[in-house]
Amino acid sequence: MSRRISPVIPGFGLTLGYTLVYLSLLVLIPLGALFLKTTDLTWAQFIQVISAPRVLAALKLSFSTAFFAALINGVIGTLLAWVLVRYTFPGRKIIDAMIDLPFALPTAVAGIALTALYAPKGLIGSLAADIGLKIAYTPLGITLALTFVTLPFVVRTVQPVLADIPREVEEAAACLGAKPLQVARHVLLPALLPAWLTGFALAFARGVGEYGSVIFIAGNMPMKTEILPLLIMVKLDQYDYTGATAIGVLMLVVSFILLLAINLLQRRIETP
Amino acid sequence: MSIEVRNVSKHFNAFRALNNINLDINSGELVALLGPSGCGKTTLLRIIAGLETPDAGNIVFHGEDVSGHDVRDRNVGFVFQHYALFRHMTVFDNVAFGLRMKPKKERPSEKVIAEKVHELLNMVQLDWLADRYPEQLSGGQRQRIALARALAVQPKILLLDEPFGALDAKVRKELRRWLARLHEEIHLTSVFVTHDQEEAMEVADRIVVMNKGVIEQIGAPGEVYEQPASDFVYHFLGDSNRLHLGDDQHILFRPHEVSLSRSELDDHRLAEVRDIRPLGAITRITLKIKDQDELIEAEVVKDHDSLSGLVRGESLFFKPRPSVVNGQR
Repeated sequence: MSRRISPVIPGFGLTLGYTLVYLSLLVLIPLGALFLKTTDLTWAQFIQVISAPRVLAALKLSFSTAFFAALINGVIGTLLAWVLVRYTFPGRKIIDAMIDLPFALPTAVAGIALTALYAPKGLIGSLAADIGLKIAYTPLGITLALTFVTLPFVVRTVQPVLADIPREVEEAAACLGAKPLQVARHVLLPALLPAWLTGFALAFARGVGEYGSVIFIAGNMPMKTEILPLLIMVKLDQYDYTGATAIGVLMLVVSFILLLAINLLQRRIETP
Repeated sequence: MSIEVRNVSKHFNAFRALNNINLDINSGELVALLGPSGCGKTTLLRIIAGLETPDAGNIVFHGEDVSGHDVRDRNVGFVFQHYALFRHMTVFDNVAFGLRMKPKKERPSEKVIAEKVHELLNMVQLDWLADRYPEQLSGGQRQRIALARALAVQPKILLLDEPFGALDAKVRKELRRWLARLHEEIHLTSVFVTHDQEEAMEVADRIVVMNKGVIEQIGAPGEVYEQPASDFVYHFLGDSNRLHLGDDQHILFRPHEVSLSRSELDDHRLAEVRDIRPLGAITRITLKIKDQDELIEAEVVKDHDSLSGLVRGESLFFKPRPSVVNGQR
């Protein structure tokens, strides 16, 4: 005779109801309204807005800088997580706590601080200028700001998974003759990949939408260093609300497709 | 391949894990390192493997000092208590791992690897699980896969760290018998760590009894049991009773080394029956004697004369008959 074990949180109906209400109030209704607003435009007008050279340039810039920032954090963040998990050293707890600071800091503060440092007359910017490298007011500066803001994502998703891999697994691989790089490549990275992809996707999504920290360091030159969120602000300033929503919809659709692709990739990796 | 451990010492901060250990293991031998937790047995095993560096001393494999060799170059198979399988790889890929990691020049073709892996999986009788993932296997199956994985690179020495420690009692018994049989077939020099004296007695050719970072005794299972070199070895290798004789004198004897009778006999002492436990072929009786708080445990065959109709609270007469002369202890 089988008996159903009653779930810890009661009632599937109730919990699903809550989930849908919250999701609707916070996500679906605002986004739906966004889509609805764009219907003020005809399809031809919509295409015209989103295929304007200035919009396409900003689109490319926003997604490419967010992508590279997420990639940089994918590497540095993994290393950081590794150091925090595998070694004990004085100040480890403090560094661990500092990882989350980019989340707590108002992004504008971060942007201004980074600009001051990396501008051609700034402390680091002047050094970079000596070797002919311009950081602030270029896509490089934007990537830098995004790297700062999205730092915690990869670290915080990879850290617990890494802590969960027993040391013995590495020792077993070493006993079987695997060299350190082979252990990293064949044992550690495959185990980390699903979590790493989550961190990467979060960092990327956050980077695409980031506004506050970027506008100070970007210089905001149309066609060159103007990001999509800023372009939306520009449209709003010109009372072009439908134009702004059209760009918003474009961002949403592109982001959604990319995140979906990452999710599907992750599924494929995770299913044994 | 023989193993020599020469004057090996190891500290972990202030804790002395190993103190000047010397040990010779012959080629083809199956040796157990036996001792309570914290005695240094696992540390010694890891030093032999090269997973741990000793503070002092040398490890010699077949006449060659390998102390400076990295774990990768020592060619040892190591089996961990918690299997340490690669969980994102199938059973097949786990076993194939060592072969695939070889430098290009020495690496066999995928076809040869596949043959070798299936051969090993057949040897551990789990070929039908080749496509499964470790988490889909039972503990006993996982450990056999771990063993196949370790053997794939044809190690010269096999080291096992509490290989059956995480398994339940029945599987554990099956697996250790299987290991003993396997060792008879392949005759690979093997060292395994255990805290279970029964396991050591059942599987090993020789037992190294360790305590607090030193070796108490080395000998065949019968030897360490019958002629223990110290009180520690005596106590560790089986249950024991202590009977006080007064004036700080006492004798030690094992539960089965006892004569029991319902009626009074020469040299037998009176005792009260506290508990009767039938354990299958034998029955254990707990006895209380008048001048001693420590209880005495006696084990006799289940149809022993003294047992018929015996109930708790009754009186019995017993006499220790220790086979080891230990009156001086």
